[in-house]
Amino acid sequence: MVLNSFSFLVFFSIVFLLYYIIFKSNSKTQNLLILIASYVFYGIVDLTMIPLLFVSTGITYALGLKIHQTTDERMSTIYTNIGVVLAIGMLVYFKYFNFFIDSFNQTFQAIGLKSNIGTFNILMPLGISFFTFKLISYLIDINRGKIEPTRDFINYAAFIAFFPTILSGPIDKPHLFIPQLEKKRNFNYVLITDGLKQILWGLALKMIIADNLAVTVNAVWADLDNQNGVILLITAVLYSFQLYTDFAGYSSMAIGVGKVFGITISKNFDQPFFARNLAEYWRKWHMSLTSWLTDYIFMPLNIKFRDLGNNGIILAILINMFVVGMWHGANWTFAVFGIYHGLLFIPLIRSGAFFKKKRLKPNKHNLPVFSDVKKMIGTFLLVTLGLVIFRAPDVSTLAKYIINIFDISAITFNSLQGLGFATSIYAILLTIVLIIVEWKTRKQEHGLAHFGVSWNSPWRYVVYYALILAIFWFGGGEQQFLYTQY
Amino acid sequence: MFKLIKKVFIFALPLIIGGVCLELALRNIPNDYRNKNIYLETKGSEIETLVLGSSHSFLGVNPKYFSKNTFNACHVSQSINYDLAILIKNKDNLPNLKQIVLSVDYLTFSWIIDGSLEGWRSKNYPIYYGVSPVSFSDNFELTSTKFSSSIDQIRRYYQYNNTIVRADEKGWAADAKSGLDNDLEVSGVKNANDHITVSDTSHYSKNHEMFTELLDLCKASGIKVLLYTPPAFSSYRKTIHQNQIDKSILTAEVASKNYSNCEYINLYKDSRFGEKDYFDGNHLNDLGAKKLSLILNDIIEN
Repeated sequence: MVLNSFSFLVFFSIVFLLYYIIFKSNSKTQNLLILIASYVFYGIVDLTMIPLLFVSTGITYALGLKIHQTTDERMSTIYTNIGVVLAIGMLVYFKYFNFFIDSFNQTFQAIGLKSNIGTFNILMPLGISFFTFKLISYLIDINRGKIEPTRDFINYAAFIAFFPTILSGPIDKPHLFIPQLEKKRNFNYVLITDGLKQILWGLALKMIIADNLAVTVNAVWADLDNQNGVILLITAVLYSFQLYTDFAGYSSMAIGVGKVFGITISKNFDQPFFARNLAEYWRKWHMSLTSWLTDYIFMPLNIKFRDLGNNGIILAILINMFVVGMWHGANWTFAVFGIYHGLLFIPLIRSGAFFKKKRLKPNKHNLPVFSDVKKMIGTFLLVTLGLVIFRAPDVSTLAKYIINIFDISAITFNSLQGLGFATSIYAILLTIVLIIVEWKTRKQEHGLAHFGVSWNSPWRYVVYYALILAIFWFGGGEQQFLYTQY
Repeated sequence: MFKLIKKVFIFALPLIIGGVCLELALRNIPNDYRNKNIYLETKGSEIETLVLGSSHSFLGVNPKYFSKNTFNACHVSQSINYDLAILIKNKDNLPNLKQIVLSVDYLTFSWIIDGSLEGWRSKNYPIYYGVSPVSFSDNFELTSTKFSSSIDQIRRYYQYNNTIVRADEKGWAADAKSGLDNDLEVSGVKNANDHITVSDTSHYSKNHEMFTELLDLCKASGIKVLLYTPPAFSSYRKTIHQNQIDKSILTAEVASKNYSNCEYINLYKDSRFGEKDYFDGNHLNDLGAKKLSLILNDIIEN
């Protein structure tokens, strides 16, 4: 069941009515419903992994209490490490075990030695990369004294399994999320309607733009040998927008669903394509992951390497970005992706730009100034190249893509048609509209946040109907969200 | 709360009404699934031989050439789960059924329509045959295909009277005419590559289970089963993965040995089928269908 499916609409409607009519008495009943709904949701998606989710939740809950109860700092660290190792071990086993075996075999074969270690038929639980990080942050935050463990298992389990975010994030921090569960969420008309508008916005991004750009992007990647440089360059740009609208669309929907239930979920995107350098980009892209890694990987490493000065920061960044890459999956292309971004940080650190956060100041026409536009385009191109690495199924295909970019043979109309450019042309035009809308609404939470606030409701409804019809018209079948695979 | 529900309901009402109208309009368009289900329900008592399978049999088996009253209940991309579902659902409608004809081909055990690229067809089974849907959206035409495709279909039927019905009254696809200049070399390679791409051997166990259930059901009801591997053009045969088609063939051979009511004939490389018999690299045209049907009838009768 994906968030943009009819079955999710039915599920969501039922849970919404139960939440505010039957289970509304207090926070405990509301949280119980959220927990049940979350496990039902996850069960529909991946029934066999319910025990894993439940057991890992139970173990980390118990460890959280133990960490807090013990007065011995050494013991609390041990308990924390046990929990972290178990969580990471779970992630490594399901996600990376076969990758390590394959890499091990290939390395041995490359140096002329025989290795026949077989891989296992391991099915990766959906959302494991996301909920594992929540488990880890809970334990570490307790150990650091940032939060106290919750005594209510239902609250904790609801936090871990929260259905809008379990599959593709955002990755919420326990100190921001769990306190919300401890208060009763009253029916808030304004918040709920804003949530519904944000869901609509997310659906539009995903179904109108992302899914239609995917037609051309997938067609090109499936037939790289027959593409010339111009098509590959265009496709790279299209993929950047496809990934953004797909993932931001999902996040928008998840945040909107959270709002409907009176729960604030962390923002995950902040118009990343207006970033003027990579440091700014990573502060605006997949913000919950960046924040998590900053808190639990980068900052501890930065402290550890502080004696090395800027070189220490570079080292911490390289490790951090390597983890960013590998978090996405068990493939050397993700490692290359991470290292690529890490290396691009070096000039920023050396020049000091890494440490500066300069506010974007538009000109008198409320447009970005030319110098900022140049930086945005430059950053976008660097990000786009990184996303080519990200998209490639393996290193040899990546190399083929990069090499073929220099093929300057002519494009024909037929070749464009065969790649589904006719389908994508609407998405391309709408992407241009999206860039304009994103610029105009950059201080708002989402594209429809303040839309038509001063309009009469019939006109607002006309636009909402047009958007819904466009979603139906341009939307394909129930396409999986890209980040569900990570 | 109720103010919101009222507002949402009023907002959604035109969409719901529009959706219901479109759904009814779509369901009213004549199609092979509805027609075949109606035939099975109303004339099932006359049927003595039932043909099940995918497009190979939909195009390749013409009931006209069978001695007994035969009906072709095949559809494009129909996988074994729906062969079984149609049989189970119509058990009581087929009191005189004596024979099943079922094709066993490259994808029989390594593919299932639900969730595949052809998965949009899955909704036809719950909607028109009344079998259980695999997913909630399979209950409705509108939620199963691209909205623009649905509108296009409505427009083509109601404005231009274009039908999507391919089958004749006995269920055979009557539109695969001979004499068309289809490049068998190209289509054979293309279709084979498509089949290789969608093939997934992890389905083997489940599909084999359903295949066995079908054979058991027939045996318990005293119904004979004729399994056959349909002929394919050389370009298709050269491209496809040989070990996988061999596995399908072996499975059918083993079934014919283990079930006394079951017989198997391998026509995959049968020399009786030449270029003139093919519609494309792995489907027969009307001439090929006549040939195949007569061969199958001959086996059934003898």
